[in-house]
Amino acid sequence: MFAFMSLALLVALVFSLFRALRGPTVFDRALASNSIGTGVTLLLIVVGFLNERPDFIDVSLTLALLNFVSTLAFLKFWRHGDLSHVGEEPVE
Amino acid sequence: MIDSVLTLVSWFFVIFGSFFYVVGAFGLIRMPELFTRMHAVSVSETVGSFFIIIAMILQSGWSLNSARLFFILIIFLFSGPFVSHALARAALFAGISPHDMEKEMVEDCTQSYPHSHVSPEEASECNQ
Repeated sequence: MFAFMSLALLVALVFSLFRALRGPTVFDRALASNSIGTGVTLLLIVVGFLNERPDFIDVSLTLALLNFVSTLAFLKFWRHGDLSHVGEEPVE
Repeated sequence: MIDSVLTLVSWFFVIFGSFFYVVGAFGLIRMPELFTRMHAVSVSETVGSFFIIIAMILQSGWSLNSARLFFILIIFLFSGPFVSHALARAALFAGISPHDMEKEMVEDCTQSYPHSHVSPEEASECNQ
């Protein structure tokens, strides 16, 4: 069961890696990198169960939080050009 | 008895979740532009990781590991919509609009008409 899961996750990771290398805009790459982070988080848990060492769940918990925060920080930097921006929208 | 039922149910969740996950990643390479890609990935990846983690919770039983997996599940359920919302707003702010993408695709269709296998009827359908 865990081998099947890891196979499916690896296929999905290859697809996401293709988009991250190819993507025409930077937002495509951000989307693909977020997707790769989610896949790696799941793959760490599955590999931990495969080797009968479920302690890897702690690592993947940290990785899930870091992936979330880093994607938001990357998007904020590309949107405002400054990480300490207040976040107010320009009025159109 | 209860072990075999648990294994059966978690196999169901594994196949369901893996199917959704792989289809979402396939949409990431097959969809034509940014917003459709975002739609494919954010929806199906949330569902796929939800089912995969539910299957692993069923496998690990009533232990500390299932509690950790539950927290990872909560993080995924929150972070997926947050990230796709921020990504869509950042892309709109940067000047990428879905409407422009649509126009570009229609122009591609008419340009490829004279020297391709697209018939005039199909090209006129494409223009509408």
